[in-house]
Amino acid sequence: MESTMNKCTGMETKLADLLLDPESAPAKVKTHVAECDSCRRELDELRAAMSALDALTAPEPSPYFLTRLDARMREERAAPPQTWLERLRARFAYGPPMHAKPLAAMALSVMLLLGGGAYLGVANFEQPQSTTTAVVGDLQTLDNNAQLLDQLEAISDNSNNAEAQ
Amino acid sequence: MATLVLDNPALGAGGALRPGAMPEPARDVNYAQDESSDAAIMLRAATGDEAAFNYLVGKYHRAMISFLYRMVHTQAVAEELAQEVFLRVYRSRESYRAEAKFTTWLYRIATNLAVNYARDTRHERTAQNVYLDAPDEETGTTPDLADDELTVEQRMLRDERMAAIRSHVMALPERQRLAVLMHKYQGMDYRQIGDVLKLSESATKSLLFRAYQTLRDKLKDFV
Repeated sequence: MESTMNKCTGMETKLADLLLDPESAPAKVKTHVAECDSCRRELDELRAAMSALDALTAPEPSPYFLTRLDARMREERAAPPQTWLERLRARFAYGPPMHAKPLAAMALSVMLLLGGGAYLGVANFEQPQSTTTAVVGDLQTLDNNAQLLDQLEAISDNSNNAEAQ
Repeated sequence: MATLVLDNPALGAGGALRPGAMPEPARDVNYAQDESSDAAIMLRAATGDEAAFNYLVGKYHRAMISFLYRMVHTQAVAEELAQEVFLRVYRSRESYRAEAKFTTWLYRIATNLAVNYARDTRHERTAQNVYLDAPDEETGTTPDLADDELTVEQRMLRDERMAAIRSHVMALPERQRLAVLMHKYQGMDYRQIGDVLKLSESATKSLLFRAYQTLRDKLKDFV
């Protein structure tokens, strides 16, 4: 019993292969099911349940279905064309799923670039240094030099006057 | 409605079939390579070929109606939704890509509409009894029966069985119900069902297996 239970462990996924796609189920699984009463019973019950669903029949379509559809299609063709937003919505609703990932990755990258760039711009914002400091300093130096020159000229004039007397 | 005559004898009516001996298609396969395939015809319809579109309607309208009928259980609503499916196919024709089978795209639209209808009418739904002998109010037709030569008692038993099976299928979670209907009645394999429901193959297999296990437990008395 224990060895049978060990062999049946994980058989559920294998039984799904046998039930849904018998031709591609591994031979090992088919052999196990042939030998194991429990698994074989399970599979038979599932197949019986599938067969019981045959009782759920659907009625024949109305004879006016295509006529009514034709009338709706004429109205549709006369209607204005879809907007780009409606086409985009249909693309995402009914399109294949694999395209969503690269689009999502691209959108995330753009958001990170914009958000990260905005953050860096704000974080590194500093008050601009005064560019007039050096210029003012130079002007002040020139002014001092000019005053000094005036004083030297005044001293020189006084000396000359003193010698002349 | 205009008809399109195609010479290729490989064309036939009905929904998608299980692959059988065919190899498993690669994910990036182009289903329009074969000019007579539904994918190629749909691409022609996308460029304005009305005859191509009408051909696809003629080929798939019965499958759509029967699928939607088993989802909503009212023929008038099923036909209304089926018309809406083909209208959506027409409106979205330019967005169709041949990376997926046409039937995958078609059933994706149909499941969207069916799910939306179920959600919109959740509070309005009451117990529905199907009287197989009563003609439909709008069309005057009666449901097609496999065997008319039954006694009254046999008919009652059959009706009771059908009602019970229907109620148990309707009681399944939405995705399981969709998967079972596509697998059991529309003849689609679990790979294509996964494409329609946007699930992986293993997830679809698991979904279907759980659904059949639930139905096995509920339908013990009818097996």
